[in-house]
Amino acid sequence: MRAMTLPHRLAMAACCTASVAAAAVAGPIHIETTSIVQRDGSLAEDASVTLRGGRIAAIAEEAPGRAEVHLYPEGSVLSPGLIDLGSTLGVGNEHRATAGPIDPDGSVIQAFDPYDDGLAEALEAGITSLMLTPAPNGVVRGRTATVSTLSGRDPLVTEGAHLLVVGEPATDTLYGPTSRAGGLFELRTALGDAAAGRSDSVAITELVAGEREAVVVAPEADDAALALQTLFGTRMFGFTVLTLNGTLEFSMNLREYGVGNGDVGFVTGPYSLDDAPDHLAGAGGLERAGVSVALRGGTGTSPASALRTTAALATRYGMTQNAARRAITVEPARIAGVADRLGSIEEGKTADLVVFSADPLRLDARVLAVYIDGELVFGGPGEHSVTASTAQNGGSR
Amino acid sequence: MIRVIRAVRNTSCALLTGAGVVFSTTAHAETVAVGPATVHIGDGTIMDDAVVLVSGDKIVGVVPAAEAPSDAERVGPAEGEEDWVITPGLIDANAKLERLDAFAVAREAQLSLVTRMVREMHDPRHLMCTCAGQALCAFASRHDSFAAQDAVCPLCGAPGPAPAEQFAPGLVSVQTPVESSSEVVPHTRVLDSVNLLSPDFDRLISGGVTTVFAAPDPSAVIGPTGAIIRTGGSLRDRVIQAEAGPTAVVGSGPYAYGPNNFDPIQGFVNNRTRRPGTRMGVIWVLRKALNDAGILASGGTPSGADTAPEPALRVLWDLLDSGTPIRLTAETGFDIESGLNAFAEFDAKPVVVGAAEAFQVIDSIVASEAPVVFGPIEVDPTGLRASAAMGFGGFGGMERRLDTFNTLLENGITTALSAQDLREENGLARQAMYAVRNGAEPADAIRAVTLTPAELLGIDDETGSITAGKRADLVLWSGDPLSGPARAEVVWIGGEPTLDRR
Repeated sequence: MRAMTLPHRLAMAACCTASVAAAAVAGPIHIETTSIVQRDGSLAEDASVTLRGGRIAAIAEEAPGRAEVHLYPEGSVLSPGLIDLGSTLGVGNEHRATAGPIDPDGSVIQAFDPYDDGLAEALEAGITSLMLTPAPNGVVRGRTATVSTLSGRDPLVTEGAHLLVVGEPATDTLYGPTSRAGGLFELRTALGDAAAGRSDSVAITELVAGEREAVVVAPEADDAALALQTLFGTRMFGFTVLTLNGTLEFSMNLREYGVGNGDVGFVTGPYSLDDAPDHLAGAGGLERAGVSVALRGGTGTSPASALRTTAALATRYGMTQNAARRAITVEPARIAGVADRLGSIEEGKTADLVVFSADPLRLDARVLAVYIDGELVFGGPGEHSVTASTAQNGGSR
Repeated sequence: MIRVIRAVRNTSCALLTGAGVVFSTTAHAETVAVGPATVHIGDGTIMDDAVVLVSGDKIVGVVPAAEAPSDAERVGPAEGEEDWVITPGLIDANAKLERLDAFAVAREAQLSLVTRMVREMHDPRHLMCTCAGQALCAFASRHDSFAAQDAVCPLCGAPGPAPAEQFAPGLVSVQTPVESSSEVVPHTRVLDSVNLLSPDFDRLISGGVTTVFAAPDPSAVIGPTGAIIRTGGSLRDRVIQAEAGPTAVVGSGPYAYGPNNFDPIQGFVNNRTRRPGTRMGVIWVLRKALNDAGILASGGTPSGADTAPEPALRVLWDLLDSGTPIRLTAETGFDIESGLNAFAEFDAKPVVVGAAEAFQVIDSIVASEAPVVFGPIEVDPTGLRASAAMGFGGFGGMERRLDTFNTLLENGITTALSAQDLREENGLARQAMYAVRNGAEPADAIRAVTLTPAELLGIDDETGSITAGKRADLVLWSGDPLSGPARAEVVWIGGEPTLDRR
């Protein structure tokens, strides 16, 4: 079954509010799968979840009367909707500011098309939320946003963290800075001026005051190290380092850089099947260094399947399975600023859920169903779908 | 020989293990005696059969072996190894870190580009050729034709044949981490481009080098400010001075180096093609920057083409105003001469760096009272160095004399020796050896790689000689470091053994 996307954008725009409202008043849904991904990333057996009013109403309880029971086959796993970071899906190239190295005033949400055709593909791969980032083509960039992959749904976070960039992406061969050293000079000056009260930019002043969050893009381990050297000690705000390459060597030396007490999270990925082993071992190395790790598939520039591929390869090269499941659910939720609502299966949280035919870390597992706001939007129990009355009579698996 | 080395290992391993504990506990530091051996103090004196006493991370003193305290832990050569030598950790005041791994230039991304394009279109032995990665569209075909002729690529220096030599020590890459949005960038820092985890630091340690001034490429007229870095030890303690002064360059560097420093391509002009294209232009940019610094400091507004960014001019003015020496990289005689003239015009105090043809302008250097960081002494240049020696970029080859270092010393010029990007067997100790071979006194040669560079870098109060109270940066050599066969057996940085081959 295809996702429940409306055929025409204009039609969708006209009635999406009504459809969300309709979801909120739908009757309870009771999902039964063989196992469930818990907050700590482990799999628990024989769990069931009741959705009501768009939220997770109960866990491991009997199906309430008149509930629609969705019974999934043996081996199925209920997971929080996966969350991908650093995505560019739906923003095309419209997130690329050209106002020089320091431009903190844009917001990537203004470049986002909530009806982008690629969203359905992400949703069908089990990704229910995306943190979008502005293009890292400068030293200080505007704000990230977190959006749902359900076409037309309102954004989850519109004014997220600022993007700070260390390394090659921030360089510009025509207008400068042309080097990492030049970029770090700009960054140090911008933050230093703001700390001294000399900045014209409200955004950077608030950033320095700890009133805004920052995500640091550091494509190489060296860049991440320098980001830590530059920002630690002088800076008080929490930040996350998106680092892509050479992470293993870096993680082995993290404590030398004074990191490891949970104040900095790391994002790494995407991994692909033809990457070198020492690159793929990066996530495991970060985990062993004791920092929180999120994995990234880069949906938009990578295929939607890249997030789970990344997690699978990370476990194959040393990351524990529980950490890998956390790294595509609860950890990215924290970085994307939606941990209070999404990222784990807990009572009261928004019911963005995915049913896989097996452990999502297994690449042979399929997506059987996707629920957003407590409503089935893709797949479903199929022939295994049963009504509450037949379930009480024993049902059929 | 093997038997003896084993004996050393057997007798000293336990001691060293104990020593490690002692070194790391400064509160109750016990004295460790390194030796007995011939000890080069670093200040030009030598003590035979002496012992260096170390407590914690500091040197306590040097005493004749017979006077060593009997309760001190002994670390050093065993019986039969009396020809071992102790020197201070060597200091290179003009180290060019290996670009391929010490400088991060997003090489993964770059390699993927090069891999994809070069593998398909060009000779795969140029996979690592930085020139192809940077200027593929415009220059790959030219580059390829150089390779076909078994010639050195004049754009990037990659030798045509023998791919194994692509990583040979001393291969000068044109790829530069130097900021190039202006020709005057002393406000940027070399340290921001240095990967402290680079294996290049291990190579330096294995050559007995414990402290370096990380110098920028000579690709900007006034380049980034260098950093004084320890080559080993905890990352947090590595950086001695993050901003240790910029380097001005007079010569062909600012227009010959850098992958994008080309003539305008078919009328396409960008910020790089505004650069000076001649030595005249280089001198002009240097003089204008020094002049503009004064204009800015006196409340004026510098203007015109080639005007440096304000932060750069402020850094320059601080140096001029405080009389801090500024490094002047110049190799040929006439470059040294014109650089010194430009510095004198603005009362800038120079430290001449490189100075291959210093013998031609000895009188000018003496008159300027500038110290010199000389080197490397090139006995048998290979690769790009060989081509540079033969003539390169339209100029005749430089006249590199083997005894120029001695000529500088004889004229009373304070001179340090540098190996620049040469490592290990060809490293800094070998530079001292070449100096001795060509007439220098051994103690003077050792001084030129220890105390003299420490003085020039302003860190002689903490390292550079084996003197009570200084940091315990020591190298134990398995023989005379000025002889070929000896190598660094143990290297201590701040009392911590960072290399132990025994």
